Amino acid sequence: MSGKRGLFVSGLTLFILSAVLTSVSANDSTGDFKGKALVNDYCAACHEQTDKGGLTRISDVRKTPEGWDMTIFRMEHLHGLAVDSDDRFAIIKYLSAENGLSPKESAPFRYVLEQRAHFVDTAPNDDLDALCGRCHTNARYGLQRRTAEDWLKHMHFHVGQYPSLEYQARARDRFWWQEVTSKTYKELAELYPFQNADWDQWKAAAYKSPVGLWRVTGHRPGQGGYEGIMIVSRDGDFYKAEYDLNDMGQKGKSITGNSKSVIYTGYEWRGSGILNGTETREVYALSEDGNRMTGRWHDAIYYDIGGEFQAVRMDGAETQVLTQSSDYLRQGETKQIILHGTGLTGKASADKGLGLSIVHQDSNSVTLQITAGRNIAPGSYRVTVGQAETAIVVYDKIDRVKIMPEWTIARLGGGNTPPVSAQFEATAYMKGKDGDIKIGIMPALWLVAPFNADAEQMKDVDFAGRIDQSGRFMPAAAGPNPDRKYSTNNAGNLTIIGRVKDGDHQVSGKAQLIVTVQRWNLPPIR
Amino acid sequence: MKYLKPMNLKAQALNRASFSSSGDGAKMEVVAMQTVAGCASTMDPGWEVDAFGGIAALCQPMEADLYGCSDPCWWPAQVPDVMNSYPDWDMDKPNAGADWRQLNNVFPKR
Ligand code: HEC
Ligand code: HEC
Repeated sequence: MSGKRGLFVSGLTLFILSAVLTSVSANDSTGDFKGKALVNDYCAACHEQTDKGGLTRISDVRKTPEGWDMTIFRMEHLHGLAVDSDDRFAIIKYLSAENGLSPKESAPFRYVLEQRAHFVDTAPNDDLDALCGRCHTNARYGLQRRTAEDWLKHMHFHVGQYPSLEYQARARDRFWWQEVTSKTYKELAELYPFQNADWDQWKAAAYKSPVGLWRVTGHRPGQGGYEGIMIVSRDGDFYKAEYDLNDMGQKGKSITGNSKSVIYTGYEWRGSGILNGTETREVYALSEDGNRMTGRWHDAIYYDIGGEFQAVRMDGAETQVLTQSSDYLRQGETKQIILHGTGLTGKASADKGLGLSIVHQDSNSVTLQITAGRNIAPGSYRVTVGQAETAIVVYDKIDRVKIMPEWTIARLGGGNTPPVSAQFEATAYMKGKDGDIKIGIMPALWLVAPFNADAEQMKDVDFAGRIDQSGRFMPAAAGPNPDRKYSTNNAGNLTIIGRVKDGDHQVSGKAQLIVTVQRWNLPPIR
Repeated sequence: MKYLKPMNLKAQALNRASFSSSGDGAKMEVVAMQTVAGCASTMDPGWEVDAFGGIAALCQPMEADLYGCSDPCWWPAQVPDVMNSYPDWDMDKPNAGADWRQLNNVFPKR
């Protein structure tokens, strides 16, 4: 596979792959030296040296690798900086190490880095939502740290670059400029301060290496879980991961591939690779102790398609269940459920009422044959394997089905813009003594209906796209459609209905889907 | 809308419905706080979603007014603003309705 890789990688991965650095570790001094020299070479022409030995603006901000990438792109296209891709990578790596974010600082906003198409982004308060969050995610500034003075300069940049912003809805009913330059910049400096003890500590910490054997578990919305092994080895300045995974949704089907990655700021794993022939991108965070990695991978072109990812270092791992093939069974039912984890060699047992026998057991997986007594009370039952513990829900009937995401958008695709699909999943609940008890994700029959009278009149259901029986809505083609009133786009306001079978009847849940137009500005932090 | 008044009725109606910190837009604020990551909530009209949480009040089709959006950079995070940042974005593509397929994404693919 590795011989072919050079053909398809681009951008961030291109400069990851083609970088000509000598072998360096995460906070290594030769890399520092080279990065520092490059920043001076490329940036000091416009950014003056400060008394403290830094460069104006550059030394007053901290951001993620993606944040630095976006800024440097602006330096190129607006201010005329010319930088080749190897140097660009070295500069981003250096700046992310010197002026980056700590794991705790980036934690609340990982959804944006992970390119989650359906995450609802909220502002710290309504004012910031109207002042800033109406144009881009609140995460875009939540993932930056600046001195008060630099936040103020950034307000100047905004109004200089986008002068019409004061006349737009949600800005013209206030004195935008006066407000951001007297109040908001101070608020931002308090919420997202440049100086932070946590960052100082992280910057000085000895970073952990990801090299080793990892136990992987995850979930692909609409497809189900997967589990297996990842082997990480060193590859010059990069890391190579080999994946040997099993698709838990389709028994016996394997998912294999590999990736090449770089770790920024001691924990920001960014990879590009292949899984079962599909080009992927990986956005993971290595835990501070170096024993866990979490995040999301996605299709390199269709960022809406991907999987949740969790990896646990196998060496020295505790006994634990990380995922299981099913979370539930019905009263009176017998079912095989496979528990996946680490160190699962102990004796298996269950709370009273569940019958248990072991079909297969090794340290990574235990296949159990579980029987729920016909008369046992519905609820959550504990299953243990040695010290590891998990829960299996026994239900009598489904009371409610919740469709997730409850509200989201899909985007029409065409021309140079790929479509953005929407993936729905149905989760069943039953009534319990203290509120609803989650049973688990269940297969559903998927339907689409008009959301309101406008949608009905415009026949949105006929034009906006289709849902398949995995719950994935694929939007129709972009562009004006002469078959529609006003030749309008194939946009639509839809209700997505998921019907879950429960014995001889069905329980449905609903979600709202807005199928909307494309966008032509796709930076890594939306 | 305390300091600028729209001249036409549609704009006034939208303005009443759209977000306003003066209090009459309380209902709409619920929609605002539910913006999917990356969507604009500049609602005159909106880009992805209109001020009523639907799509009926958006430009129909979007291409009919696309350059009316990019020229004054109404949604610069979604539609490249031609005024200052990407003056060449729509060059040689005078008719958005026919030429939209050739429009490029401005941020290079990573
Ligand atoms: C040709 C001149 C020029 C060069 C070269 C240049 N910059 Fe800038 N930079 C600017 C200008 C002008 C601004 C202020 C306007 C803005 O923010 O876009 C700025 C602002 C910035 C800011 C503050 C704004 C923000 O959003 O964080 C950072 C950080 C920055 N530059 C980083 C860099 C780095 C890193 C380099 C070198 C790789 C660089 N610049 C090279 C002209 C330049
Ligand atoms: C009119 C829409 C609009 C509004 C309102 C707006 N922004 Fe932005 N912002 C943008 C655009 C467009 C960019 C991308 C600039 C570029 O090309 O790098 C941006 C970029 C940014 C960046 C990243 C810049 C970098 O290089 O690191 C930050 C941080 C940011 N905005 C913060 C804010 C804050 C804070 C507010 C509120 C006070 C705000 N924005 C209000 C449109 C807006």
